Amino acid sequence: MDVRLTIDGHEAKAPKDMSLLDVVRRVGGEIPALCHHEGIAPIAACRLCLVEVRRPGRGEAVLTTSCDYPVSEGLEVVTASPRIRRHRAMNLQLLLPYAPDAPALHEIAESLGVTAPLFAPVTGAPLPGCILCELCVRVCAALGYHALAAIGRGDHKRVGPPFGRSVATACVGCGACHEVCPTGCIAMEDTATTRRIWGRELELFTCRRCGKPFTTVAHRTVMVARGDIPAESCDLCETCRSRDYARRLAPVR
Amino acid sequence: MSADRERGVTARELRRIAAVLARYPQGDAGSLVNALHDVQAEFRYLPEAALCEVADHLGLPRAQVYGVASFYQGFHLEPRGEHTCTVCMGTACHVRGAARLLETIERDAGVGAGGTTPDLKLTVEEVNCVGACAIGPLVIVDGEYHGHMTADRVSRLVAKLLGEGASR
Ligand code: SF4
Ligand code: SF4
Ligand code: FES
Ligand code: FES
Repeated sequence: MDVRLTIDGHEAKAPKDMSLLDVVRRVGGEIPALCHHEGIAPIAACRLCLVEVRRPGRGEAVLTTSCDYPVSEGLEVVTASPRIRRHRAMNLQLLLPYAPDAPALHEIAESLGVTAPLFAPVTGAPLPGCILCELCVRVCAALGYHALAAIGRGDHKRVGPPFGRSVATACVGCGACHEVCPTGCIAMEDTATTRRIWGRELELFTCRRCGKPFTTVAHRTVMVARGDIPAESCDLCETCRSRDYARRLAPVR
Repeated sequence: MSADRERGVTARELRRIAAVLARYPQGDAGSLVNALHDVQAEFRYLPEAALCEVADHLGLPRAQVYGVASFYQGFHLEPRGEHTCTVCMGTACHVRGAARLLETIERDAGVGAGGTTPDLKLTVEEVNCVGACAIGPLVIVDGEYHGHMTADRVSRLVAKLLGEGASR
């Protein structure tokens, strides 16, 4: 069911309960966000996606995170105001010391006019650069690997392999966590034949046609078993696979 | 799975875990915290194998169960002593010499706060104010409050806790 809402004075329509952040982005609005992924349940960790919302019949507009705010009928949304900016800026200043070198944070800092973090860069973190957005943990779980955990609480909180290990034994090396990490702090190194990630060293799988490695053997095995790759082209990299499809389509004109 | 099950657990321990888990329907993810409490009551801590069994029984990913267990202060992931000696380090106890008490215990037991003696007799812990400031400095032994503690008395207490097995 669709609901109607206004975003910065403009009317919009969206499926009920869809994440407000996704709705705003869909209509071209811009909201800074570091811990959100459209396909994954939100945890509202970074606190940057603040907006003001007013529900019909309520007086005050309240400040809230938009990623975990389900849209409803008659919602009035403001995505930019001095108050929003002030709070986003403060939250960003709190994140900056954990990832002082991350371009994504600097980009947001610039847009908010933030020039300095609130305190000195954090040193000696178990995973330097990590802002604990938990995207890596959630993406890995959503893909069904569950190789990572959010561990501990408060200032001991960290992400990494569960059970106190230094190696993520369930990791297949798909690289999704590395891909989604907003600060780029998850190291993934490919040599000619192997991929290193989370303490694992996994053999790479090379495309049978062009010889380019396109994922790890372990990841491909899972994809084939799950039927994520059609059996007839499971030995080909994405480029060669697309070429195959195109060739098959060619006669249809 | 079987490799995990061999990780430092005996068949008997596995049976104890299974007995606890039999109280919960399979796949009942909502029982996670209760199940962890029950397993901990059995072992005084949560061995890795137990966490794996709980996860498998309730149909939850093991990494997630580990995450939950590591979140709560009440859950222990390392073996715990038969006895627990907790020193209050809150402000009121602190100004009455709690640090000295802790030092004494740590020296007598040979482990630091948060640690457990190798013979699994005693775990030493700190806490920040348990609301009994009037009788501070306070040491809690196996849940029993001992107020107006002195270094001498705590030393004797610890000796008793450590010696119990030997004299039996
Ligand atoms: S690379 Fe490993 S840890 Fe990262 S998402 Fe893939 S399986 Fe999970
Ligand atoms: S490693 Fe990256 S993705 Fe994972 S919690 Fe930290 S910042 Fe987020
Ligand atoms: S994107 Fe909403 S809190 Fe991070
Ligand atoms: S400070 Fe020790 S009980 Fe309050």
